[in-house]
Amino acid sequence: MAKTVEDFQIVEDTDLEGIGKVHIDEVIEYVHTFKKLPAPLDLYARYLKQRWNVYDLDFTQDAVDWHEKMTEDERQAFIDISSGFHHGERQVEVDLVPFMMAGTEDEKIFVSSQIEDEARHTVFFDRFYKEVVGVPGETIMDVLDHSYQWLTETFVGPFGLLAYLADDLRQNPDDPHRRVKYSTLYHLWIEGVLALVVMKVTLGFGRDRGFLPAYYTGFTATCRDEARHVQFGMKFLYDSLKRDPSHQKDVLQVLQTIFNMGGAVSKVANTEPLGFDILQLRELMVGQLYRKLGIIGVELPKEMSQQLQSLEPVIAGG
Amino acid sequence: MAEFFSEAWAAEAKDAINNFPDDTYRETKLFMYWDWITAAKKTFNGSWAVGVRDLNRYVTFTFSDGVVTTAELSDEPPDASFVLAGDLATWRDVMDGYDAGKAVMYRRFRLDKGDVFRFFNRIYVFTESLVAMSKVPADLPA
Repeated sequence: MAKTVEDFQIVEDTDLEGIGKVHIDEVIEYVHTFKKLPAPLDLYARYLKQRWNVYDLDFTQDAVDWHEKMTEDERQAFIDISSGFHHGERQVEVDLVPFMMAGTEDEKIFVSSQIEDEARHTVFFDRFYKEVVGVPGETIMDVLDHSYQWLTETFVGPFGLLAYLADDLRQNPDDPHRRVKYSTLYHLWIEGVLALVVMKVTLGFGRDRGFLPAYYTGFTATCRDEARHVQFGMKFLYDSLKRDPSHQKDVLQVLQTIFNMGGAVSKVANTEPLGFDILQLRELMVGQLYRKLGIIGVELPKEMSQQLQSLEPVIAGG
Repeated sequence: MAEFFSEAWAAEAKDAINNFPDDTYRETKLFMYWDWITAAKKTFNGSWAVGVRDLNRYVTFTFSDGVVTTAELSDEPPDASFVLAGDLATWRDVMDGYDAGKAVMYRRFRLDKGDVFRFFNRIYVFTESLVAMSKVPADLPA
């Protein structure tokens, strides 16, 4: 039986300590559970209720788990995956600003809260890398520069595209087609597909093995934040498409470019030590994409559906 | 050593892009990645210019069926399919080994001209070509 909004009351209302006890699958499901897509100010009110303090997390046990309990393979797989998020969070933080330059005033209020969320998520990863992994660095950029070595070359595809679309949007922030293209990449693909898949991998590992409790808590809270962002983006895209169905072309143009770039794989995704193989990841990714497309009412042309079946998962998110 | 963004450097950069990567570098990445680049290059018949904004120097590479056929120097932004430009400090970092993809992602290089989606449909051709250029010894201005 499909779950209702009431089934997710704990996810909705719990504090930081409580969210650390929620199963990640519940939070991912929460992203897609609503009676109707929430308005920006409803999401802003939810942000005020769900906002958490990244400095309330205590990574002491995580450091013990990391250095004494996890195997070298597990550590390497974990770092390969979480580095995509470390940098992804930074990218979605700085590249969201042009989107706030236009839209309704209600949307701007919500987007301001999202920028704060993304900054907090970046600090969360900064703390994890410094206090658990042991990466040196005085500044946020020092730590990012250090963890860049664990990214693959193909991270630059979706996140470079986001940077350049943000630049394009900055020059013409009111243009509805630019906004829809930007939101398709940002809210639908990076947050709604990539992020949720990667969250499931690392959080599933942490929960199953009972490791990294502060990481689990902070990243599950991050996932709950993503629920607001994704729902905001889905409403923006749904409303845009309803107003002007020609935006379907914009959505498909972005996805086609993503699919084209997705054929380039420079390194094998190192997820098996964490309990996920490439087929599972692709299945998760495809499933997440179809759910989002269903919400906004866009259907993939047959050729793109076929291309999607052979797409290599990008291990990143934001 | 050729002067950076001179006729001689442009000619060497052209050859470097055409001969890139060497076996050692190729082995650091999956063959699928290089296959993707080869396929993307083969279908690009157009021009890609790179520029140093504060020197007003540009080199336009013409691609034909996967091969760079010409490299032309100019002192103003050329009429190319894509113009990617950065300041001298960015080029200096890339020449010293700073990650070219990172320089693109952090917008230290900006796409001054050209369709963003078409550019990203071949993104790794361009980022790896920047890596190829960075291997060409050059005398950079102080």
